[in-house]
Amino acid sequence: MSSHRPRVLVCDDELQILRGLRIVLRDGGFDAVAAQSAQEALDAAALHPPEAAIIDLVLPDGDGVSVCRQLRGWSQMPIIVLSAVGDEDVKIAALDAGADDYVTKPFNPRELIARLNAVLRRVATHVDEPTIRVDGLEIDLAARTVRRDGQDVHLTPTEYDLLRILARNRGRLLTHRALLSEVWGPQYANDTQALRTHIANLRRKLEPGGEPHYIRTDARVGYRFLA
Amino acid sequence: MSAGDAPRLADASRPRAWGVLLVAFAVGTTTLVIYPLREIAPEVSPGVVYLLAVLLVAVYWGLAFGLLTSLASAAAFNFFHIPPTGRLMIADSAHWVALGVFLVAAAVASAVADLARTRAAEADRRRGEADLAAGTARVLLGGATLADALPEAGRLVGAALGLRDVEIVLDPAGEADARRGVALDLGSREALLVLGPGGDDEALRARVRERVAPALEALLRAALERDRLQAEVVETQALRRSDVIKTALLRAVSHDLRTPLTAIITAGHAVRSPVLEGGERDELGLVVVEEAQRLSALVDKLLDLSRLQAGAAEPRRDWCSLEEVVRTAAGDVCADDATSFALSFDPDLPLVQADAAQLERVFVNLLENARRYSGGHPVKVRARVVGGKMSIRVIDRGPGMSPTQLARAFEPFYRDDASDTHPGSGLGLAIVRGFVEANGGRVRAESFPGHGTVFAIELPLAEQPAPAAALERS
Repeated sequence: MSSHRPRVLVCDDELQILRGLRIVLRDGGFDAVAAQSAQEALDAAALHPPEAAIIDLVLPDGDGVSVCRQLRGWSQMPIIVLSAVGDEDVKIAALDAGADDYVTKPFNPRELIARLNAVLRRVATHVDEPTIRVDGLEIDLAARTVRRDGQDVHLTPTEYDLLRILARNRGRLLTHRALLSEVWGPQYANDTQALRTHIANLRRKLEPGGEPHYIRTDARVGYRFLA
Repeated sequence: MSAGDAPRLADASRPRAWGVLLVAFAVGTTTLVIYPLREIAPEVSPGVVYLLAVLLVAVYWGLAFGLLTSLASAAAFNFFHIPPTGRLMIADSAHWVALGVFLVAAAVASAVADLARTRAAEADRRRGEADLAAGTARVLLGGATLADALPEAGRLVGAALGLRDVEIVLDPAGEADARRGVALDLGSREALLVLGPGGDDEALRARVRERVAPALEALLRAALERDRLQAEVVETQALRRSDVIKTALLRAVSHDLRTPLTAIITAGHAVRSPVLEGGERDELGLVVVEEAQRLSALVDKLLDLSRLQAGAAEPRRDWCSLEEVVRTAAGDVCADDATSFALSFDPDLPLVQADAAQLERVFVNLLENARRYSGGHPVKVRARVVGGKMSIRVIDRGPGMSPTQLARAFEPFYRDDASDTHPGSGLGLAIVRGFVEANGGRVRAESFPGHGTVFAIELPLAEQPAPAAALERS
């Protein structure tokens, strides 16, 4: 770890979770700033903007979704939400409101650290690079061409747009709705059938051996591009 | 149409003697009337006048009396008005013709009248049957359940048949009633239309079988079907409710089990950190213990509730002191903080007959709940005897509950998720109500939004144990 320790805002109303999380984050190379309510989190973020935020979806004075939306109002910091199984809708709402990823309680703290590192990497590389290079895949945004292991890959315009949006948000979980609105337009936001068809085509052309490598599926929620 | 039918259809209640008198009167009057007529209109055969009498009697009294009138008229005409008068003797063939005309007129007139009367009676009966069908339909299908509607339907059928004590019996057990009843086939079930006194008449029974039973069977089948559908609706609602409870259970388990588990897992990872400062290790140890206790308390509640829902919470009643129970519960809820609760007990509070362990669960849940919402203000508990019952009021100074929240507060897993982010499984109050009611008591909540909530428990007071017996035991 370098001497720079990224500040991470952690917001959960459960003090008992914060106690352990602070130490886990410290060991992971982060400086944790704890908040126990939505208001506290927003105040702390405004006072001294952190580099990433971990927000519980259930807070005593509001929900994590609105915290995500308000943070997104002025910041591009990566946000990871903490959710419980069965809260699929809230989870998707949080992602649509700007969260980058989620982990489900009870989570393995190591996984949380890994996700945190992944979303921070996205921000670090998210300067307007003309070419995205990931693991043998090369996307030339200026020329709109895609090469895998030096071979040209021919994509339809829709497939290319889909790949570009996924790749520019590396590591970020994009919901079906977000992808559909971005590529096809908001009026097609619920047409998940079309999305699945195009993702399948894209994978057939990109993935070596047909195994999802570049594009990962999060069932019922969305897709993410390899971080 | 036979002559035998005529009296019954005309009117069986009119005695025959009256008919004979009428015939005599009609023939006599006509005979008398002819004397002046012979002077006024000598060209007209006076015998024509008898025809009026014959027609009138035949129409109103039927064929037999019509024929009698014909014969009597012919005789009277012959005797009084045809020379040689004063003797019965037909000399002229024209007089045979008059007698023949009288007889034919009587037969035709009575037959036509009979036909009209039969048709009118038939129409009456049909209308009666239609009225009966409409009436029974209204009673059988409009009422709440078939069982409630049967007596009234029986009364209607009785009124239509002119019988008293008509009953409709579903699933008749014995054959005893079968003689006086008409069996109704309702498909899956059977019924008996018991006709009561006067129901032995075979013609009546035939009419009931033919004209009343089919409609009644159809209506009863419809009513049975309606009952079945209603029962199904009730069952479906119960199932849906239990589904809602199961979903709520999953949610409660999802949140209330995962939160302490997350804290324990995180603390477990954190405690392995190579660099721990000051009291961090102790703090993490405490997190593990406290959260494990929280899980254990939740498991207790789930067990309490499942016992209550399975009806396995039979209280083991014994004399118990409410003050002891409440103080123990308050100690369980917060052993370290004496200021959380302000307990007040009337002096000489009687003992109650109840399951002390269950009452303790009641007050643990109630006090926990009140303290959670009281915003740091002490929760007041007041126990006294009111109106011959033990009354315990638990008063918090929390935000209070809206009428909707109040109405559902005791449902398992109910939490007003829009505004309620206090930790809690939503099981506590359901357990409170379950145990209070199992011990013969009642619990209700009153709320003053903005000022707090009162949970009022009433427990029955049994006759107190005799002091002597109490002394002996001690």
